[in-house]
This record gives sequence, structure tokens and C-alpha cells, in this order.
Amino acid sequence: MSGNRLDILEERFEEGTLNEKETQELKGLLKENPSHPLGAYFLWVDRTKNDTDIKVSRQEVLQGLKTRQRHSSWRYAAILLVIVSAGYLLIPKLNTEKMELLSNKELDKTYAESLKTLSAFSTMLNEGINDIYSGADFSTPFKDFKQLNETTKQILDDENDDK
Amino acid sequence: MSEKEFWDIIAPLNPSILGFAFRLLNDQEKAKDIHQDTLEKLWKRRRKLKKEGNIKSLAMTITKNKCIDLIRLEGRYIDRSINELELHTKQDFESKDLIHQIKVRMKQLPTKQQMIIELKDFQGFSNSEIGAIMDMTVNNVRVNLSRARKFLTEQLRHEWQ
Repeated sequence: MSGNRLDILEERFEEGTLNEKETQELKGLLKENPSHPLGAYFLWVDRTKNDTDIKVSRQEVLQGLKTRQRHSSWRYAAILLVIVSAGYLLIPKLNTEKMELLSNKELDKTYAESLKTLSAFSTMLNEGINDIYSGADFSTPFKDFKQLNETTKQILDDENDDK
Repeated sequence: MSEKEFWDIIAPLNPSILGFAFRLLNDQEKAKDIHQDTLEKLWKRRRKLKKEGNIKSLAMTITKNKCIDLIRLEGRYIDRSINELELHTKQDFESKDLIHQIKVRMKQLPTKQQMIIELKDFQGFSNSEIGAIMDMTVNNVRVNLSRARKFLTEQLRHEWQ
């Protein structure tokens, strides 16, 4: 009877269809039949479990976790630093030397040219107004534009003196 | 979650994680590294841990993935089983120690089958739990388990007949 049952369980063991309860039953039957070679399989499992048993303490585990987290934070910080440094070096617009060239020379030149343009424009306007109002009695616009022309010329002269 | 609460959850899992990694990698230090990697990942998910249905399955899934990564990195991943001709090597029949023979044959199994044997016979998981951990169907688990056990016990059956 138990021989038949052992054969059935052995067959199902090899098919991989034994549940936990049947596995325990098979182990029990194998103890009753110590010469059965399948007993060597379960003996191998038990021995291997014993041979590969590693004990770890709570302190060891939690300390290891903390160390890893600390290393992880430093790693992220280092990666961030490398990215920021690479960005700073590789983006040409951030080059300070070029920024200074633009701000000093270019701005002075543009400012001087704008004053010249304003002066020329006011002169032209002044002459035009003069032609229109020549002989006329009211001369307020003429005076205003004349004054504007004089003021612009004065600013341009002051700028040139500063240089 | 405090350290104490976390420890209460993971303490019963430590022997399983360490044993699984040690038996697959054959290296105690590497097994401890994998154990720490697994716990680090669990710690990051600590807020969700209590809601996880089966924490042991989750821990074993993480451990399994880490072990596979390392085994692949070391070029020791076995995809296919050794063919029939190679099974009957001289070493198999020379040794009279049945346990030693099973041990030698275990190392010749495909890596996935080694893991299934480990989860079934060493860790006591059911076929459906193994399916979830190994990302396989239950039938696929059963087929692989059957092949692996037949391979491991072939010499035993030879002795018995």
C-alpha cells in the first residue's frame, strides 16, 4: 500500500505537481524506506541548507544600509557637480572675456553713433523748418528746433571731451 | 517607518535572501552584497511595504533579479541544459556519493531551473508564487521544475533500478 503511494508521490514529485502537504507525506514515507534513493535528494537539500546558512546581526545590516545611503548621496552630489562644471565650460555664452568686449567697446560706439545721428537729424529738420517759416511772423517752432540742435551738439562735444 | 519597524519586517527574510544568493553565487561576500542591495531597495519602498501582499515574494524577486544581473556580468548564465550525451560524463558514474552527484548536476542546470529548484525545495514557495517571482506561467514553472528534478535525480533512478 505504502509502496504504491510512494511510487505515486515520487512520480508526481518528478512532474512538479506535489503540494506542500504531499511533499511532507513523501518525506515521511522516505524515512520509512531509508534505502530509497530519492531520500538522497532531500538529504542534499537539508545538508546544503545547513552548509549555506549565513547569520547577520541587526546592527550589521542597518549599519550597512546607512553606509550605502551615505555613499549614494555623495555619488549623486559628484554627478551633479560634473554636470554643472561641464555645462559651464561647454556653453560659450558664459565666457566672461567676450562679455566685457561687448559691453565696453560696442556700447561706446553705438552711443556715439546715435548722438551723431540725432545731431544730423535735428540739423536737417532745423534747415527744413527754417525754409518753411522764413518770412513768417511766428518763429516758436524754429526756436525750439534750433535749441534742440544746439543741445545735441553740446552733448556730443561733451562726450568727445570726456574721451 | 522607523528602523525598528523595518527590521521587524525584514528580519525573518534575511536567511532566505542570503541563502538564495549564496547557493546561486557560491560566494558569501557577493551574497552579502546582494542581500544589502535587496534591503536598500526594500528600504526605499518602506512606505508601501505594509501594503504589499507578500513581502517575501517581493524580496525574492528583487534578489533573483540582482543575482541574474551578477551571473550575467560574470558570464556564468546558463541558458540551456547540458545535452543527454554530456549528462553521462565519467564524473557522474565515478562518484558513488549520490549527494555529491546531485550537487554537481545542480551546477549544470540552466540558471532559471536552478532558481526554480531553489525557490521550490529550499524556500518552500508554491508553483504560482514561483511564477510571480520568475515572471513565468504556472505551467512553465511546472515544466521547468519537472525537467530540473528529472535531471537531478536521473542517477538516483539508475541506482534504484
